[in-house]
Amino acid sequence: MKRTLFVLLLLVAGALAWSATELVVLTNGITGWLPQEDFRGFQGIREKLAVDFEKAHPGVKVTILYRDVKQGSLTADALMAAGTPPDLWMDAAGYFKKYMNADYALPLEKYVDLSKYHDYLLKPYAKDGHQWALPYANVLGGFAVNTTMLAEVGYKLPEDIAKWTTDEFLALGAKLKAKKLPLSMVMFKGGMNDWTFYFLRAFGAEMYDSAKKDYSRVTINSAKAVAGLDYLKKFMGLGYGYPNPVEQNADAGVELFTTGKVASCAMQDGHCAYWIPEQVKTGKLKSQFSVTFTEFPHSAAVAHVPGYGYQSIMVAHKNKDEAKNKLIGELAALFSGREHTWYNSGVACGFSCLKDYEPSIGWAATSMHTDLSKLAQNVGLLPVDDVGDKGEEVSRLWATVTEQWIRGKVTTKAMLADFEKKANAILSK
Amino acid sequence: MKPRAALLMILPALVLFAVTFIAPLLLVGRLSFYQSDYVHTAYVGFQNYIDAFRDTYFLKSFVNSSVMTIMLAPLITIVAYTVASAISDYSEKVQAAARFLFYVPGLTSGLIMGILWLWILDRSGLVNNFIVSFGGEPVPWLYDLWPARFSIVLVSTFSGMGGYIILYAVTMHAIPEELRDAAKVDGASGRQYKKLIQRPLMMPTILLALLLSIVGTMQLWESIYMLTAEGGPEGGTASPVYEIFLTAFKFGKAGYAAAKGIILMLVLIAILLIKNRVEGWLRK
Repeated sequence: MKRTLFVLLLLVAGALAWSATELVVLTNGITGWLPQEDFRGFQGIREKLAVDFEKAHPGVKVTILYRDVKQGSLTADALMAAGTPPDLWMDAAGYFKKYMNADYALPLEKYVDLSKYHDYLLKPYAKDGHQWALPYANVLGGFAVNTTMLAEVGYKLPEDIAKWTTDEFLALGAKLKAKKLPLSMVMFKGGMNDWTFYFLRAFGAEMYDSAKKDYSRVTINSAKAVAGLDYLKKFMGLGYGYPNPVEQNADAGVELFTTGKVASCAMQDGHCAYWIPEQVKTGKLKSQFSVTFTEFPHSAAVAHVPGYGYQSIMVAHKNKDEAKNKLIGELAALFSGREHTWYNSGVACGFSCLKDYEPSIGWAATSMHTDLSKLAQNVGLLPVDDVGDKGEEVSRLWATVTEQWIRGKVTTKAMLADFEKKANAILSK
Repeated sequence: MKPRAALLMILPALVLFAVTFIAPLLLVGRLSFYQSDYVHTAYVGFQNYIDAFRDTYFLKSFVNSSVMTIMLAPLITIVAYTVASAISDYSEKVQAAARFLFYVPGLTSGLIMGILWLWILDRSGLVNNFIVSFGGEPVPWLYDLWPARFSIVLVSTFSGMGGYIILYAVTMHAIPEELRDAAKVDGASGRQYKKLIQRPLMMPTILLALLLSIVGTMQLWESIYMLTAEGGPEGGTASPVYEIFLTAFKFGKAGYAAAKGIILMLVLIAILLIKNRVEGWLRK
C-alpha cells in the first residue's frame, strides 16, 4: 500500500513538474544583500523575488541564469543561437539594440503600469508606439578625485566647479608631479576607452552629432577633437598621467585609483564604494581616503563637460502563449519594482528609475552617490549613443587607430580622418 | 567478414561522426549564405564571402598567423624533436616520466595558462622583475607588437610542446630495432644513426607536426583572449579563429562568422594538400 502511494505521489509530482510553466530570467553579475540585512537565507534579491513570484503563481517556476560578465554577451548569444532565448533578459542597455523590436520583444505597455517609471528613462526604449524595455537601474559615471591626495599638495577643488579648467588641471598636475604623484589615468590598452574620451569632451569633441541625435555617421574628425588629442598628448608629455598608457584599461584605472596610486580617474561610484574598503582589507591601501565625484575640467571652448550614464534594462521575449506573456509582464514589473530598486541603489550603486522612490541606504547613502546625483542634475549627461549593433565594430576601429596614434605611428589629423572614413563606411552598410 | 557485417560494426562510429561533424558542418555551410544576427535571418548568397575577402582585420589575422607560424614552427619542432631524441636514449620508465612531465602544461586549461603567463609576462610580472633586479629596463612583453607576438609563440610552445614530444617519441619508438643494429654493425656512431637513419625516417612525422603547428596557430584563442587585449597590439596577434569569435559573439554576425569559418577550413585543407604533396616528393 505504502509503495503504491509513494509511486502515485511520485507520478503526481512528476506530472506537476512537467506541466509547470517555466520562466527563465537571464541576468548579469551577482546578486546579494546589504551586509547588515538578514533575508532569511535567500541567496539574493532576485532569488527572493523569484520565490515570491512562484508563491503568487502556483505552478510557475522561475529559473535565474547568471551571465559571466567577463564573457560579454556570450551566454545570451549562445541561448539565442540555440533557439532558447530567456523570457526576461536583464542587462546593460547596450546589449539590446537588435532585440527591441516586434520580431523578438514583448510590447510591455500591455502588461506593465508604465506610469511608475521616469518618463525620460522609458523614452529611449520606446519605438513605433511600443515600450520594448523597462529600465531597472540608472547607472551614472563621473570623474572621481582623491581629495585627500590633493590636500597633501595644498590643493582644493574650486567651490564653483565651472572654474575648474584644463589649464588649472595642468597646474595641479605640476604640483602633484613635484611629489611624484600622477594626476590622472590615460587608458589606451586596446585603444582609447570611454573614460579617456573625457579629454576630448573637455574640448567639445563628440563621436556623433548628439545635438541632432544623428547616429548614422561619426563626426569626430573636427578641430575640437584635434585640440582634445593635442591636450592629451601634452598632458602625457609633461608626465602628469600614470605611465605606460597602452598598458592601462578601465580595470587598471579602478585598481590604481582605489589603491591611492593616482589622484583621479573617471568611473562609477560603485567602483569606489566597493573597492576602497576592499583595498584596505587586503592591505593594498593603508587607510580610506576621501573621494568626490565631479565634472571633468573643461577648456575655454565649452562651459561644462557632461557626465555619462546608461541604464540597465530588461527586455521580455514574446511568446505565442498569451497567458505566458502576461506572466512575463508581471515578472518584469516585479524585477523593476521597489524591492529590486532598493537592492540596486543600496548594493549596486544604481540610481532609481521609479518616479516616487529614491532609496538612501547602503551605498546610496554615501556622499559619492549624492555627488553623482548632483553632477547629473547640474551638468547633465551625455546622451547614450544609439548606433545599433554596428557600434561594436566602430569601437574596434577606434581602438586600433587610437592605439596607433598614441604610439606616434600616425598624426592626429590623419588618424581622425582615417577613422571617420572607415567608421562611416561601416555605419552606412 | 562480410561487407554488410563490417558496415554494421562501423555504423555507430559513422552515425556519431555524421551527427557531431558532418551535420554541424552542413549547418555552418548553410548559415554562411545568410545574414543572421540570431534574431533576423536573410539569404544573401555569396555576400558574406565577398565581405570576408575585403575584411582587413580577417585578412590581417592570416598574416598574423603566418608570421607566428614562421616563429613557432621551427622553435617547437627543434625543441620537441631534440627533447624526444634526448629522452629516447634513456630507459622506458624515464621516457614515460619525461613524456608525462612535458605533457602536463597541455592538460591545463588554456585560460588558466593565460592567467599564469599574464602573471609572468606583465610589466610588473616575474620576467620583468628578474630583468629589473639585474638593472635592466622592463620589457612590454604584451604591449608592443613583436614582443607580444613572441610572447604568444612562447606560450603556445610551452603549452603544445608535450603533444609534439609524444608524437616524435612514439615515431622514434616505432623505428625497427634492426635498423639501429644494422647501423651499429656498419660502424655508425650514435650521432650518425640519428642524422642519417632516424631523421629521414622521421620526416613524415616532422611534416605532420609542422601542419599541426600551422593549424594550431590559426586556431589560437585563449592566449590571445587572456594576454593581448582583443588581439592587440593594433590587431597584430589576432588569429583567424579569434576573428571568427569576435564576429559571431561580439559583433553578433552569425552568418558572416560562418562564412569566415568555411574560408578558414578551406585554407587548412589547402595546407593539408600541400603537406601531402611535399610528403610525396620527399618519398621519391
